[in-house]
Amino acid sequence: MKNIIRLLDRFAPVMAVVCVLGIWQAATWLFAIPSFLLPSPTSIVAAGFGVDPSVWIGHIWATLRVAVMGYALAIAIAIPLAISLSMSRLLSRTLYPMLVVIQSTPIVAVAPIIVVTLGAGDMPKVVITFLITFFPIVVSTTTGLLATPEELIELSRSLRAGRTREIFHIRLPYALPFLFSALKISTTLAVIGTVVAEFVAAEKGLGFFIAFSTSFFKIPQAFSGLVILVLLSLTLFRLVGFVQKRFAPWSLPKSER
Amino acid sequence: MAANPPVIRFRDVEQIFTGNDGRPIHALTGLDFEISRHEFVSVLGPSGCGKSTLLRLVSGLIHPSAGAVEIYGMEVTEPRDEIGIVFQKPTLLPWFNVQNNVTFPMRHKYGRVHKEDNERALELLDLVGLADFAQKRIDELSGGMQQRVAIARALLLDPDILLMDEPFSALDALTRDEMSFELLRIWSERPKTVLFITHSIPEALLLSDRIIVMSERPGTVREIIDVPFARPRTMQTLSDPAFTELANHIRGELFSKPAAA
Ligand SMILES: Nc1ncnc2c1ncn2[C@@H]1O[C@H](COP(=O)(O)OP(=O)(O)OP(=O)(O)O)[C@@H](O)[C@H]1O
Ligand SMILES: [Mg+2]
Repeated sequence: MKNIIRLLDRFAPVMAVVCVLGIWQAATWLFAIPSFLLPSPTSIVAAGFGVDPSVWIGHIWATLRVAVMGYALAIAIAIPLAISLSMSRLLSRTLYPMLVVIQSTPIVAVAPIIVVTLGAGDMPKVVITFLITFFPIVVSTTTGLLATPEELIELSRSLRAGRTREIFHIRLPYALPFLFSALKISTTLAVIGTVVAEFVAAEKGLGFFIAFSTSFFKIPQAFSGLVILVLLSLTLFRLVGFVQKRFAPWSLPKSER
Repeated sequence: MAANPPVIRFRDVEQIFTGNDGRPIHALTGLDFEISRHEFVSVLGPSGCGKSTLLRLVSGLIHPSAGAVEIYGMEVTEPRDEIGIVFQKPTLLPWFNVQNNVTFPMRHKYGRVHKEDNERALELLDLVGLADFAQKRIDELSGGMQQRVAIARALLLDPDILLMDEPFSALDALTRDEMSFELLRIWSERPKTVLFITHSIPEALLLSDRIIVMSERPGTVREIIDVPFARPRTMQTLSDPAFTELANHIRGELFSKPAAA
């Protein structure tokens, strides 16, 4: 009995998904929903297999490449920026409002402008991904850097250890839980950013694939692109979670270690 | 004794902060006292009377608005090596194990930890009764154990002076009593000049050679009490009638309003 309950607990998420898919499949079939409105799961899978694997790999690679580059760029810029913001009142008072303005601008609306300005190639797409990704990282990291217990800072000062060590030995590690939660959110944002960029201007990538399929009314095929996108997002998310668990397990809540 | 300068000396110290609204906050005034070598001195006083401020002045983290704080006869102008600090909360680093937390001052100050430092850390962990816990993670320890680690950490650089700001106030009553006796034992094994801040009258009486009783803000010394009980102090000390009497006296001191000038 206990084993059954454990099995149920373990497979509950999978079973829920299977149920939803079953209902979806039944509904499309029962109510004869036309596939351009809502394709059935089986037709989506069929459409997915109808596309040549090498074509898939090409699109996935294009999207993954841009998403990861934008994400990496965001991390590379956000963390030093957060350190400077947390160290200097003047900087945080002058830069912070500017960051909020950037964040409040709908990137989707700016994307076409960026593409026109920066031309073709990966560059504009990386920039769009970067813009959508980096703000949560800056805000979370800054919050984390400033959340360090006052006593530890006093300990550091009483040892006359210096500002650099204070940041690298105390503040940055203390900010890691904040940083990691932002990094997780940002994986999804990075994929969104890349897809938005690909909608605007691209001849490769999953965003382009979906837009292209839709314009030819190949709705099941568009949906299959969507499925791949979701899988890509999830994989990146899990990857960051894995890195955190492997290299900074203490930064996770106890239940997740 | 008379030839040596006192270890800590307050010379007519005054501390005025600027509040968030720009108005001055008169935290401490007219502090003037001396603490000699290996003396255990407690500071008792109402909340907000400037006890932590007093400690920060000794540690060199802040500088008095007027007067001077001296250590070994020299004015304190910046944090000095001969001081170890224990805070109210243990504030250990969750990403290090117990031993690395104890050696942290070395790593933080000099950038590297030598073999001798690790040996010293193990010795200190033995001293505070955590010999078997060196490799444990911080979150595997109870509050009292964490505070023991913090004490070991404060002792790593072998300070002459130990500053403790309500180190046991976050602990439950039983653990707190236990820790008081532990501190007495540690102090008798490694004599230090201790400045110990507390809210607990029995704790102050049990531990100290002298107790500085402070008044409400602006904090100043209301009375310095010599604690007469012989050492080593034990559970029996607590039931000594003189203990209760002195405790009542201090309680009266703390709760009476200052006499009108
Ligand atoms: N950096 C500061 N800036 C402004 N005011 C301060 C500062 N530090 C302390 N004060 C003020 O000085 C007074 C004394 O503070 P302090 O922390 O020394 O009190 P305390 O006796 O330690 O109190 P508690 O028993 O609650 O710990 C308080 O009114 C506090 O608001
Ligand atoms: Mg205090």
